[in-house]
Amino acid sequence: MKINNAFFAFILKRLLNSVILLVIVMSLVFFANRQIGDPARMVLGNGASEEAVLNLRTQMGLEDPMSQQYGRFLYGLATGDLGKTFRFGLSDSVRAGNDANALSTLPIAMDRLPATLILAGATIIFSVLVALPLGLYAAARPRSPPDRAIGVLSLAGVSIVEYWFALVLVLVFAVQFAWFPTSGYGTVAHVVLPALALSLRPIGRITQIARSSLLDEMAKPYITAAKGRGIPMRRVAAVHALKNAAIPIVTTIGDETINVVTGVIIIETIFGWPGIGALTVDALSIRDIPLVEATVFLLVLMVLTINLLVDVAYAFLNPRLRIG
Amino acid sequence: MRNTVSTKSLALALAGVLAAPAHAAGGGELVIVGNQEPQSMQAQVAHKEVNGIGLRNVIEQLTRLDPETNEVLPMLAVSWEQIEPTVWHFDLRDGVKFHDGTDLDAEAAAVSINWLWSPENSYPVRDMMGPQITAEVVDEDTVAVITDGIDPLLPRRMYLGGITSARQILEEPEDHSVNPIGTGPYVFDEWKQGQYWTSTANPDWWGNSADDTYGEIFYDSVRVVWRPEALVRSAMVESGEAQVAMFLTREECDRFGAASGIDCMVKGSDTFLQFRLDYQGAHPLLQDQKFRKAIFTGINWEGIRQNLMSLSEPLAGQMLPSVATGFADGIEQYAYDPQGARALVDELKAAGNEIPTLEVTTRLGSTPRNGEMIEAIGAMLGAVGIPTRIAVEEPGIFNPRAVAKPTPDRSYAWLHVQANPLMDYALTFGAHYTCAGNVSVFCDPDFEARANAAAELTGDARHEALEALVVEGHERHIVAPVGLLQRAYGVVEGFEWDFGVDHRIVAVNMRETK
Repeated sequence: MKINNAFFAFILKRLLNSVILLVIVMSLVFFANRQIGDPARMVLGNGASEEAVLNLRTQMGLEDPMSQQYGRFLYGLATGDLGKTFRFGLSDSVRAGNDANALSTLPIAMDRLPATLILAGATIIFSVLVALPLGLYAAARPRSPPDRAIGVLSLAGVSIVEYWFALVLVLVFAVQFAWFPTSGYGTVAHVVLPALALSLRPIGRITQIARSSLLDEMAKPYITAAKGRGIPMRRVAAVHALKNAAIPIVTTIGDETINVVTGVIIIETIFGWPGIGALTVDALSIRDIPLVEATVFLLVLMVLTINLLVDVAYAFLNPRLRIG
Repeated sequence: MRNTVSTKSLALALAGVLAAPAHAAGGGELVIVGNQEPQSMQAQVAHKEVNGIGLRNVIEQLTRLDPETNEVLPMLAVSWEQIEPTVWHFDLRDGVKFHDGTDLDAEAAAVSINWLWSPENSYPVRDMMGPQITAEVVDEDTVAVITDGIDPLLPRRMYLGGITSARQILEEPEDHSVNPIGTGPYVFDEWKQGQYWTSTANPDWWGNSADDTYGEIFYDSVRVVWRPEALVRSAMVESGEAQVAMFLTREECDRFGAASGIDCMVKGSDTFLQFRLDYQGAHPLLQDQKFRKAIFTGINWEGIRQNLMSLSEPLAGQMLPSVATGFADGIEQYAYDPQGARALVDELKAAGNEIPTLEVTTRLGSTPRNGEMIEAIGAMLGAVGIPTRIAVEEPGIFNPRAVAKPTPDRSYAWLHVQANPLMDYALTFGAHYTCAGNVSVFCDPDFEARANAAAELTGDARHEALEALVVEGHERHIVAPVGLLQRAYGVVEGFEWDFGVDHRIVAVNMRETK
């Protein structure tokens, strides 16, 4: 496979766009975070005096001019230091004049990254393994009873609310049949229910797109010609049609992966899964601004990486992109 | 050969039994599933169970409360005495060691008390403080606790503040947030943030041999996990993953009723739901008794409590139940009288007043179905001619507004929970009925002076003085109580647990009989 300069230029351009987008999104997060309540009041409680709150705000850097805070934020973004958490350690260590020991937010968030990657990865792999054969099977037998059944199931997949489905899974598979743990983290068995809950929508969407893309492709003249040459139907579909139908499928897989990454917030919270999503909820609930910024940073980074990978996949699937 | 091995095994097993610690244990691991992760493991967090679930297994206090009578009992202090009106001496228990091996002596206790109640640290536990508390060493076994004003409740307040290692506070203060070092029956092991925290039975716990111990170690270890979703918490007990699931809803308890092997424990708490309405300094009409009466009687409080508060007990027109000091016998909940309320509103309008739009808020997640409750309040007030704007607010939005003092352009009310672990009206008055009270929107210097004077009294005189103020507060429509919260727990069948209105998750008061 030939890869020339146009391909690298394409990737480089995408990378640059990603960096710009990252800065824009993080800047929005920075300004939004400063409008959602006073973290010092959250830490100290309603009973704290105004003086104590002001004191802590000063220590948190929230009393500095906005331009100074923003400059510090951008510098931190460039150097990978998004500040110290307001939650773990700050309340004691900062008050004790020992803020060097307060914990940096990016390592805390990074610590939760593997759990989210495991969950998101398992969800997408499972979804693709289920959805692609379903979509192809349905496309091979359009308007047949199995096709209609798959259509109904895939529609249900995109329509059912994950939150509700997650609770049903817990009651049925953890309580009723005792096949899996209700929640938690640590073993392969713990991944099953949250991944199942998250995979409902991707399975539905990928099945639908795989079916329709393949059907479109199968209606094209070159497929008729291939059939006329006596090439077996299965080979025509799997080798010729599927390759050309792959771009919309890959796009959908990319979109759904992004949906899974951003959708883990609810599922991680329900299942006590110690990932980025659950940490984001915790950080938001106590207005731990630096920690929110660190978790959102990683989430945005994941989304941009997925987009980039999808772009690379396009390039491999579409020679015009690859060779210019 | 086989005989030799068997003999050796037997000998080893016997040695193991003989070497076992004196405490009972053997109950395996106790798993408690709570609703939220602690934000920190600081001693101050444990002043409310919900803030630091299970932390009282590691950290102890000078005093404790009897779960049945709510009477103050010895814990790390074996006795106490009021030496002067503002000075109390606490005699410490002999031979108690912190989990880091340091001794609990007067110096350690003083460091811990000063750290906990310090205005510089400004921990939220200070919400429960009366006059400022400081501590000094009297002798090795006696610590003096000094208050800025007279505080007859001090021994009771000492139940709120945990005593932790002075060495840690002085040498490793940053560790205080994540590694609690107390004297309790369980030694802190690990806090895996986002997942669980664990502790192991303390074989050297003073309670193993003391006559006045408050429990017995049954479980070898305690693991606290958290799941925000009530259904998942209850499912953990049903599936055998946990023995105790905290804070279930009535629906969950009803579901347990049909299941086998699961029980639901329900008990009243020290926390009440109240409707607080802007007063002095707010929109002029909110300072008018007619308008306040129209609001308070235009809402069907008992209907809301019975139908929307999931698990609750009625309150007799005041914020605390009958066991509280200052409870007033003669008053009742504000009676629902929509016609009377409408007539009052019409009368005010006829006098040329413009009825302000009342902003009714509640804090997201503070109590089940609070959003529905403020919807009902909005509809009922609308029906009597009082316009409302309702909002369920995030804590970050709600909290700053809750502590802000009223302004003339403000017509604000909240529906929110408040706790009174001391079961004494002086604490409620301090927070709610004083000009400087942290969540007070009521400000009457004369009332405040009488409340302050009552707070310094003891015995019947205290009760009567506080009772008179409760009656006056009711007549002046300061706050409308809605109901006392009950807390429900899903537990495995045969689970025994002795706990009071503070709902402490203390493993030495728990055991399984099956």
